[in-house]
Amino acid sequence: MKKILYIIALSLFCSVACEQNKTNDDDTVDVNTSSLTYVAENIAGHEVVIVKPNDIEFTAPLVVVVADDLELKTRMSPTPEVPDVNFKAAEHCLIGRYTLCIVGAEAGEDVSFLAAVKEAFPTASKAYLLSYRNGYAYTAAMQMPDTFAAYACVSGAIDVEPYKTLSFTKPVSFVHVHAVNNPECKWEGVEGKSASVSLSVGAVVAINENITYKTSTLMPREGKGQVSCTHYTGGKSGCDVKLYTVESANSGWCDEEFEVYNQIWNFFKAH
Amino acid sequence: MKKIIALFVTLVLCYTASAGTNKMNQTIEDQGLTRRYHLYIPNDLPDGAPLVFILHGYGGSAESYFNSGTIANFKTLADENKMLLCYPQASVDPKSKNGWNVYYPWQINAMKVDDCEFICNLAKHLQTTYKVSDKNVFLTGMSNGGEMCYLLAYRKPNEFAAIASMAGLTLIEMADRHNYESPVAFMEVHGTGDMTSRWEGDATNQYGWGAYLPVPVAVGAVAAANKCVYEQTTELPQVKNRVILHRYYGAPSGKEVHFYEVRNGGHNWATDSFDSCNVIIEFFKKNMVK
Repeated sequence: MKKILYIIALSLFCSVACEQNKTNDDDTVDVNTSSLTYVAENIAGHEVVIVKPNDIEFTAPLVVVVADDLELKTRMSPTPEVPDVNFKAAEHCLIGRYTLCIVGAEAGEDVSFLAAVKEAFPTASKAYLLSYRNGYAYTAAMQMPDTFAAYACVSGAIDVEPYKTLSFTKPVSFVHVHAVNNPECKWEGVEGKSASVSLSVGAVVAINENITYKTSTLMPREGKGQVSCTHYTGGKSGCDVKLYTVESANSGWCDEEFEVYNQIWNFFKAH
Repeated sequence: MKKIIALFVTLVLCYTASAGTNKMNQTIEDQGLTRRYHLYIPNDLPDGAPLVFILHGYGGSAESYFNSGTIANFKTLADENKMLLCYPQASVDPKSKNGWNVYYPWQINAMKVDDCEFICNLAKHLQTTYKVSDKNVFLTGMSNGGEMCYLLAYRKPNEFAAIASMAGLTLIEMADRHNYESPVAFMEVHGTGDMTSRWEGDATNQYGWGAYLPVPVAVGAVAAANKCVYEQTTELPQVKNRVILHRYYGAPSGKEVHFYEVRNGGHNWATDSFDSCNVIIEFFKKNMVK
């Protein structure tokens, strides 16, 4: 009898574990939105939206996202009927067990504000910065390389104007996601606006003094563009860089092509 | 008889291809050593003419480069553009080979000569002797000579108006000892199938030349130091191997980095895939200081 109960218990455990693994792999999760809390707050004079699991741990890590446009109340409202990309990005904090703080790009260029955002979460074990459709992660990596444990940029690149006077001074760990045919933030750069993706990533690789790289191809999703990941490692600093190259014209999260949120979060977690 | 005719034809071709003066086995005293070099002086070389250094590879010689058919086009181009060509000779290194001191493992503690100083001292000597430009000094070199291109870009960027490395490498020892202090117009030509100076680098010194950076990372470091921001990618008309030019530009100094990726190309001047001598001289001309 004990054996039968044990087998039943084991089967149940395995099915739950498999379900969780499946969830983590394909980036989709059956989210009960009531388990997420959305709060609009004002930090240092700027409106931010904080998204977190209701039962979040006291010391949960913090991910600050600098979004290109911040129509917070509409874009971030938890309505599964309108599951826009930002909603999917937000719900990933349930999987990763972290607090998400979304700020607008107009505030993101103010590095003292970004520092204030981090300070508003004093119990967070780690803090990470991600810029979406803008290059503020690069600007912040130049100006405040010690503030965040790792930096990410999705569909953005180094902003040309601040780069005229700013430079990378310290190694940082950085992940960049970009589609090769992004029509807005073009891979080769946009005159007077954004730098080339290769050169943006290359500048971080150079300051890190990474000495080796390895390129791997991710399992393609049916009908979607191929995704490859080049991982730059080695060097004295211990900081690494990942570049996800997406064969598509996506100018957003590139979450149709691969499990971008998991990949970024896994990179963050490793730092 | 056929051989004699062939030799005669070759001599006539050489004579017509390069009509200037050959000055072989010139010497200069430097750092306690007598260093040799060869010169190619185009006819009617004006005062203030550009000076181009061409550095041979490891175990090679200035003479073999001077007489090389592969890069003979440099002399024709020097005639057309009135440039003084200088082919310096490396000294004998601890492995008893002619080698530029670029911090190969066996050179690091045993080789005292500073070849960066030698090249700069030789430039000054030629400026005095032949009244060539002290601003338009250019450098190219292959393999070990290419490594000298990176080392001089690190150490003496202001001495050269432009530098073009052929199958050169950045040894990690160089990157550890030096930083790029000033922007420099730089070119790299490299075969992705180069089995000597490997495209993917050698982080663990598996192949004995010392640990070195992957070639795209090495070129990226120069582009980053220059603060180049834009990239233009073009494919050259295919002759043999595909050649892709990555042009990095938009730097505040205006100094560009040109990276010629020769798909499946080997350890050579890639002259069978494109006119690399002409591309190098055109790059130098574009970076001429007025």
